[in-house]
Amino acid sequence: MKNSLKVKTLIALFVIFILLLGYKFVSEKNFKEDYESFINYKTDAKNLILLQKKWDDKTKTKQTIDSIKRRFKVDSLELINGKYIMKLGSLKKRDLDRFMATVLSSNLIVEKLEVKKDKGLVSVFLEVKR
Amino acid sequence: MFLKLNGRENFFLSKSFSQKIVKKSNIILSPEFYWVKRVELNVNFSYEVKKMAPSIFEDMLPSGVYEYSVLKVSKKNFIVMAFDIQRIKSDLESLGIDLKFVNKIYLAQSEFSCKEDLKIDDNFGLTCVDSVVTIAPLSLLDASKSVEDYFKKKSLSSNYVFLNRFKDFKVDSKLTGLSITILILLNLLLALDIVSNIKKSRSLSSKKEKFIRKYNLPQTSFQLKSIESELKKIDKRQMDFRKSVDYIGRFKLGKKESFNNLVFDKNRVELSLKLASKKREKEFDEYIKKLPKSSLDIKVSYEK
Repeated sequence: MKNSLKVKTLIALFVIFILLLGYKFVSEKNFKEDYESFINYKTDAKNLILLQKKWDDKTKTKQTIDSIKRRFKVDSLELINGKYIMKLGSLKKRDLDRFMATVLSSNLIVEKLEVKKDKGLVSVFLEVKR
Repeated sequence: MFLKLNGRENFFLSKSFSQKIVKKSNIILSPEFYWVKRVELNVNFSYEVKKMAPSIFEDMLPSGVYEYSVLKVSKKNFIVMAFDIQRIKSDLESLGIDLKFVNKIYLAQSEFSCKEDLKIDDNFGLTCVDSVVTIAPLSLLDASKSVEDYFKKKSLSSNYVFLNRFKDFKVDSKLTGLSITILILLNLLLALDIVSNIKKSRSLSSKKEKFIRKYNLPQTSFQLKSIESELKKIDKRQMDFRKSVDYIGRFKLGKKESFNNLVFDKNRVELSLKLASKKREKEFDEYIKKLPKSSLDIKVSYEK
């Protein structure tokens, strides 16, 4: 190989080296940023998944509503605008304690609850997000 | 045919040149090394003529890679020169001239002013015919001065046709070869590293996509945080409601005392109860005040 060709080759290889080096740094920086962003996303997502499991589980909500329907004397149950509206007309005190325990230990998102006592019997109005 | 100018030795080169050049020098080529044509064209500038040069010399030149140079003689009169630098280099080598001793190469056409005839050797001289520099038998010329003397007094123009770019740098062949090998290896390593980075980046993207699909999540952290913030509000309100009801339920009621109504709506809890005395009502008020910090507004009323 002639000397001039060797020098030209050397210069070309050096230019390629510089370009590759620059590209390597850029790609490494991008990867690092993507990785950090993914880790942050995963952390946020885990919190969200936990909250969703707790408060945004429609199947579980339906199961709880069905369970209440089976265990207590429910006068009416309607699903209006994405809300379950339930009325219970004549609960005894013992039943009320059980009912409250069921609602408070459940994942139901209680929008409205009215408990009224009248002559020993209790009426309940419950509005729950679906 | 040896001249010295600006620290560089200058040589006028004809095909009969026989000297040995051992120092970096400028070369002035005799017309034997290039082709010349005088043309009259209806243009004003040399660069316009240069564009037309290949067609001016069409079918006149032997095969080769030609470059062109143009000199303006007078209005619309130009001298066009054609030269093949590779052919010139091989001519120089065949005359025993080492290219590493060549600094710049000039054409006689651009360096000779045509004011007088010059003596090249015992047989030939340099003259101008119709402004075109040419070689002619010495017997036909009135040459008193030699080309050496002529160029000794004349500074060369900037119209050189070749510049040895590697003129002042000595190339160590072994070191260059080693450097090339090292650079090739480094480039290969860098390329492999880059490919690996690209693969890692793609794998990360695919992991994220799988994760998003598996849990049916939004694409961006911003959307994710917005949903999370809504759910946190729900969580706080629901937990406060549950804690409050649990706390109220733990208040011990006496005989003939009872909770009558409980209303929970949005952030408000209204409680109505029947207690035995004012003292008991005060006790309950104090009890409610001790309720752990809550986002709910609790209102208590007593029935008689």
